[in-house]
Amino acid sequence: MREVQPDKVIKEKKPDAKWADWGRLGKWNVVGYRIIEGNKGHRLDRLERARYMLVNRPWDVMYEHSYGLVSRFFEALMEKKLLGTKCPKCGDVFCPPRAHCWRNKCKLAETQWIEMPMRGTLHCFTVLGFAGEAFLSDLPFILAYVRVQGANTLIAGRLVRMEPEDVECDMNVEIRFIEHPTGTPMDIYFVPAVPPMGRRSEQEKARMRKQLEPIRAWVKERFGEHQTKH
Amino acid sequence: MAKPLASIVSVGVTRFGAREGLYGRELFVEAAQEAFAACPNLSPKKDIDGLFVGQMSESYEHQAHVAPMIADWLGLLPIPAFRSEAACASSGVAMRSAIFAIQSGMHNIVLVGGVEKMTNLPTARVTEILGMASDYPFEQWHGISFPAIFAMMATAHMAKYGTTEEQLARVAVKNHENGVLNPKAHFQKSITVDDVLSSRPVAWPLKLYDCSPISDGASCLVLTAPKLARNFTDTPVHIVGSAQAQDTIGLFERSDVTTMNVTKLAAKKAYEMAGVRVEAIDVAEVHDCFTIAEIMAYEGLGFCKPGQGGKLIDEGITSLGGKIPVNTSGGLKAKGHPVGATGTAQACEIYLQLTGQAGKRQLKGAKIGLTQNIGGSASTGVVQIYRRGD
Repeated sequence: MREVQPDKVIKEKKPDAKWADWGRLGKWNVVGYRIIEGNKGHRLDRLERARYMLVNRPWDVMYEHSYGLVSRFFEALMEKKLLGTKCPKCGDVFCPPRAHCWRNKCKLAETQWIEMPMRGTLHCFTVLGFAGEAFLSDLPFILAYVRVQGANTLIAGRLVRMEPEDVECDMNVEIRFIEHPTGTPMDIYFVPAVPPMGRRSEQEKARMRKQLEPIRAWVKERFGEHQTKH
Repeated sequence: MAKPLASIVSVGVTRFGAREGLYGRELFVEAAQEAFAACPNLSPKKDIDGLFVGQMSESYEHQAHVAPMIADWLGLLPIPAFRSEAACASSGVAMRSAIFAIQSGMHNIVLVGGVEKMTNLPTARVTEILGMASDYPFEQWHGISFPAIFAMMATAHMAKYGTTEEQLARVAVKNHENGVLNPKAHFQKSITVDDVLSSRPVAWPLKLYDCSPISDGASCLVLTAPKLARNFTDTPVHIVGSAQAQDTIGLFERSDVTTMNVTKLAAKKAYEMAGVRVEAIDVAEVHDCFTIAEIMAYEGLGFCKPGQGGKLIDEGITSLGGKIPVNTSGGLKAKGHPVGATGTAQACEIYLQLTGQAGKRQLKGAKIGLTQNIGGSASTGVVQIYRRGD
């Protein structure tokens, strides 16, 4: 009978000690309450008043995830290399990587690793004016889906060094690494490879700038001047 | 005309909105009480032999295993109860499971609904929970919210077809107008194109008024085998087509982000099953989680050609007085979008329209209705077709 070898640690960066109390601080304590008189009823035109009690209880988790069969992609990011995978049967190229081809007719063949060029085409974009809590201080920022040259898929990332009103679909971009990559999809970002094509009129640009003004003002008021990693 | 798959004999919907103070389970009770009260011939405990619940996330209320809990809260124990999760299409998928149950002959009369209690958490946290229906890590870790995903579809649609921010805004204006006529809508207030354009960007080009709100609510239907429907009502609504399709979870693996393949594929199959052409549809409830989604729904359902969705809204064809009124309830945009409740809430609106109970927003003589419910970035799509049973 063959024995299963135990897992062996090759490299490790332990979470800082400040995370040790995560569970104890976060869980199960009711830390506040509110008793309110609110509404009860099916329709706005037929409401009654009712009394409710609401409590505040923090809860969160520290995850440990495996990047699974595409772990190599993330290790390579730490070395400032962008990898993709290629199906040996149909030749489709995946960046982000897939461990197996997406085509059933290739019998979900195991893919092979390839190095991707650091350039691509912006497929579509958005300018975030609101986001999850961790991203609020970076607002407004541009997120884009880019087709890395040679890939059959798109990859997400931030586009920097360009004003939102100048961003256009189909523009060419370069892919860059942040200074200290940590093995996450956010290690890469995009910068324009060419000057703006100028498809948007001056009037449209002015409107977009005006729409984004309150976001900039809100972030400045709440977080002060703020530096991103790019 | 196709044979009915199952028949709706009664419906219930809660008021959608910030229902502070109530549990999700209590919201479901509110919806079910209405459905039971509207169907005096139904004796719920004796007649109902299965419960199907659509609900997206345990994270809103820190509560999993909601199916038995809702069966308990409705006094229906020990009937078998099932929960479906398909993000914002959870109750659309639950409805299909209920149809399968009836079609299999193993169930005769079932309650199917959906619920979500979302407003107790900060908006940024709700954004993260909804975002869990996108790819982890390649979308979620970047802070890609659902508004951002639909905004990406919008910029691609604008670049490819010339769709404008004004056209997107007109979807919101139309749905708010309908919401004014729905006493259970989250927003019962009209807005103007300028209000939309000058509202704060959430994920440009989508502004606050391009987005459906975070709401609490529940909805449900009493579904029977078609041959039993007349025991409970003189005006059943038959489900005559029901189809579903899936696409990649990440938007980044689609060949074209300007179309919703799931809508196109499910619609084609549903029309075939129902034996109707798109021209026969008198009223539709579509998944306008964001204004661009309604425009893409028009195109996927065949209400117009690809790229012509903006023109359709400009011409007023989908307004209350138009040729195909869409989202007479106010849609997700104005009625509200408690995600798990949305699929069955759409069916409730079609039931009300086809049975003449839609109050101030009632259409004249509507016979055939359609619902389109999507989950995530249209990774799940459910299209169903309904016929007034006369």
